Amino acid sequence: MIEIHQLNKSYGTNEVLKAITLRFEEGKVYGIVGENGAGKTTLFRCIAEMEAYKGTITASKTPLKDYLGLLLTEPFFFSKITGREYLQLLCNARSVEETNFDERNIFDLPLGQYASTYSTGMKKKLAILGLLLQGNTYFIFDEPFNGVDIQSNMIITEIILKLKALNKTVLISSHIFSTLKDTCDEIHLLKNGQFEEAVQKEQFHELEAAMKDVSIGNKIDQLGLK
Amino acid sequence: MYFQLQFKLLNRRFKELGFEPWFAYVLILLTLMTVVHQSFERYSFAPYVFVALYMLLQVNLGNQKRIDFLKTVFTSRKFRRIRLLENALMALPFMIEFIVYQKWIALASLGLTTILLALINVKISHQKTLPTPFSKRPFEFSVGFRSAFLLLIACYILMGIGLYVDNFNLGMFSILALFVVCMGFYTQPEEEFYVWIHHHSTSTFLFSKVKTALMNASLLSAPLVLILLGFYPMNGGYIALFVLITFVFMIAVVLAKYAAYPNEIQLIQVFFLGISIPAPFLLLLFIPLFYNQATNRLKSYLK
Repeated sequence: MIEIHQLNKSYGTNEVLKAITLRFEEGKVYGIVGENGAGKTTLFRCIAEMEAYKGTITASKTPLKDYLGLLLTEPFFFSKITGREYLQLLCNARSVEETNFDERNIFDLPLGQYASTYSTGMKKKLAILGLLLQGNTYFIFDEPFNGVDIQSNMIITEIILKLKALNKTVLISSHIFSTLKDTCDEIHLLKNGQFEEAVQKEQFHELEAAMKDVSIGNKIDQLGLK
Repeated sequence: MYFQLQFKLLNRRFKELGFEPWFAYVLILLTLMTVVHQSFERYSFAPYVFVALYMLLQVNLGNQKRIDFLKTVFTSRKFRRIRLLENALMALPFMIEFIVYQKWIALASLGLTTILLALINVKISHQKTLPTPFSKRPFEFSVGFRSAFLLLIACYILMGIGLYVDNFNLGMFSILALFVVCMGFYTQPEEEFYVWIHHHSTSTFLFSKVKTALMNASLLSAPLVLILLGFYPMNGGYIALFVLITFVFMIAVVLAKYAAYPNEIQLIQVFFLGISIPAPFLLLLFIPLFYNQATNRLKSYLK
């Protein structure tokens, strides 16, 4: 469980998150959606304790960051580190003894190659694999499906469902609505630094329609395509 | 135009560090002159230390992303001229010192290194995976070993030459150069994610970083040290003391990196490390200082 109470975050005079209060339960998958700049990444960074903030964030396991697997939108890799070494580094960081990386390499990544030479999708898969090997309790996946091929997207969806079954708490941000529909129990809509509404699974199709309406409206007609 | 831009960037950097550029240049010049004078007076192999220091600066200048960028922007002729000129500019203060103190062999080594390092990068392949003995404890040494592989080989070749011409000092220099290259692995701050992922306390994190640095540096330098001991057993005490001092420097560099984190090592830390070269006992003051600064800097990433 992660509980956020009256979370405020500002950069100078720019208020990015405003009095956010929210509770993420165990064994549930939460989708966080919002337009670019709505504050999703800032929220994730606050939960990960990478940012100073006002308010409180508590968790059933503390310190929260030591049980958190954080997938960044664009994971960074050193120029001359192999996939296998990256996994080793992540395991070492959490004192996890893992020797058989090849067996657990379900994405068939070329672990002997430099990670920096991987494609965008491969990098994302490597980053996800690393977080899974760490045996985390909480997961934040910021755009886990971006740039990943369709087969791996299916695997990632199944992984998220498995994490849910294992009673983990998972937060996902994605711009691909269908992926959220397949994995989430609840979707929270973040707008201007505040959560506007929480939508349960049975109302996802209404949310999708509403989002389409707001985002697209008559913009396509405005293009005047002939 | 390229160098004017670099000059502007350098001045901007000094300003970011809180120094007026003219003051930073005077400070660097005075520090260099003092350190050179003191070192040349005390140690016969000191000129080679500066060649090693220059090589360390070159490791940064020769990083592949930067090289790729230059290659993309400039024609290959201009690219080589830029690389040669920037290496020469970097070497200039050292060259002047060598001429003033009439250290001709060091001057020739520096000249040769300047030319070679400007050309070598052009040919290094960075796609093929180079195996390292550091895979169990990535990342500084596995990345650094691959980036500076040719420099490490050069250190071993230097030892070979030193033994062949029966020059003990050159052998010592090769060990020193290797340690300087290893210290170079700790000059760039990593992305905050790579600190944040650790579940250790700040002190355990720093201790683990220092331990890894010393273990891996020992692994790389052990053959050189043992060979030199084998050829010059009568200088065993001197070699042991020398290796001990380089170990202490290694500790200081690792801590200095995190004392400035998430920024690059600051001028003040470089200054402290610089004045410790002729007076290594000063590190006994600076290491606790760096440790305290590093602990404060890492607090926001580690619990």
